[in-house]
Amino acid sequence: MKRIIYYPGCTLHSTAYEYGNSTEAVLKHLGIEFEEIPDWNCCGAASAKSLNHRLSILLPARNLRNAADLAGDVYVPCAGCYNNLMKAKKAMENEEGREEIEKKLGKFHRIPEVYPLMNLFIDDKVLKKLSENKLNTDVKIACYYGCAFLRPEEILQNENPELPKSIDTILNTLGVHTVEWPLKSFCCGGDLSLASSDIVSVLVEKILIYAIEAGASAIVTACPLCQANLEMRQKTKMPVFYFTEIIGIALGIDENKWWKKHLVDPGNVVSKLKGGR
Amino acid sequence: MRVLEINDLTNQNILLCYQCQKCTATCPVSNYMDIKPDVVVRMAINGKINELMRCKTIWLCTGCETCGSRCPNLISVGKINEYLRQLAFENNIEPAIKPALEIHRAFLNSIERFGIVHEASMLAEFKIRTKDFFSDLKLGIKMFLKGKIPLKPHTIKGIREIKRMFEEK
Repeated sequence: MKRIIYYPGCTLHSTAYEYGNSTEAVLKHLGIEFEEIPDWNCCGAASAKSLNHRLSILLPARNLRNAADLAGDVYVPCAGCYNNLMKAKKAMENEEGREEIEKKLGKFHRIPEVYPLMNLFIDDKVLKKLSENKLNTDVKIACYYGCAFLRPEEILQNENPELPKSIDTILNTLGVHTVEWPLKSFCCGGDLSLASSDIVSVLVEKILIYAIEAGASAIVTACPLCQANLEMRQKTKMPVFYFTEIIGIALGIDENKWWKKHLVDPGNVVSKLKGGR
Repeated sequence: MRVLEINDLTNQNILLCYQCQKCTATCPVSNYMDIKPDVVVRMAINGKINELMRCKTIWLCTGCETCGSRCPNLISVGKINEYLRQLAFENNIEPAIKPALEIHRAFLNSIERFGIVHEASMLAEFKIRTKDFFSDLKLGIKMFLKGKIPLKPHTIKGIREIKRMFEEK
């Protein structure tokens, strides 16, 4: 169907195992061929840009260089990785920046395009395929996008940072109702999670209260750090899914090992969604 | 002048700020900050860098960029905070929130060691650096039992290239 370059990032092999596993299962089922960036490294997350500007460009740029050897565009499931790759790409746009990076990393054959993983699924052909697998369910979902897929908008130029809709579009196409709510792109506290967990708990509780008040019984996100924060720092017992897990349910390829990885047991919502197959 | 350096490195013109305070109103963590985002801009313009490098604000900013996205003059206070954090670190300034610095230090050390992050050893280093062994212990054990914190580290093939990135100035 399509061939993509895939950059899983560190979390999809560890804390966001269920995101990585469900993504790969869904891509295989849809016939989308994917190849990981050869010998990829960490993008630097929030830490490189906090302490060392040079590393915050060079680390993601090395991934772009390695991706350039393959054909196709790079799709990134993690919001933080996507954000950092785009910043490195931006830094290479002017000649001076490119020269400086190439001095360290060698010549780039090309600078590949970089997209968030969601964009792969809002392609007309893929949406059509998804629409053939509709779920008949009254479960309501709050789609939560966080920050790093959306801002800074002058670099990402992806979707409306005030009212994003890619995940809503995917779920609606699968027949799942999504609620309108105002905190879709509100920050979850991001990397403050370990250093100031009390603040993150307040932000997470606020997000969950708004989602519940909007009528949602679960949250669906695409960002591994948002998902971890929402699950780790809540008291409410609200399930938090990755959007690829919901696609997996609709396609009938979901696996128990995904649900076992969740810190908040999603069993109730999973069986309701499965009941609509 | 420092303000021109900030403009250059953050790729924006902070002199355009007319103190509408939208950044402070919209910041998700401004209530925890000792210097509010709009005051950070004002102080940066006035060259009060020494005070800014020592404030809590720069370590609390999550870089969510909501301020930059909503500013009528396209100024991101997040980018100023990022610049100030880097500057504070370079100059060995004692951070107002030590764990916020130590988590980044442990994280970067992990990248330098393996090329990717190895959560288990990174978290252990963070705990040693902050001498706080008990917070989130239960959570950590739960994550470990769920297999979300793998014990065995993986080192990328190009680790030498990564190490060179860290060594060169």
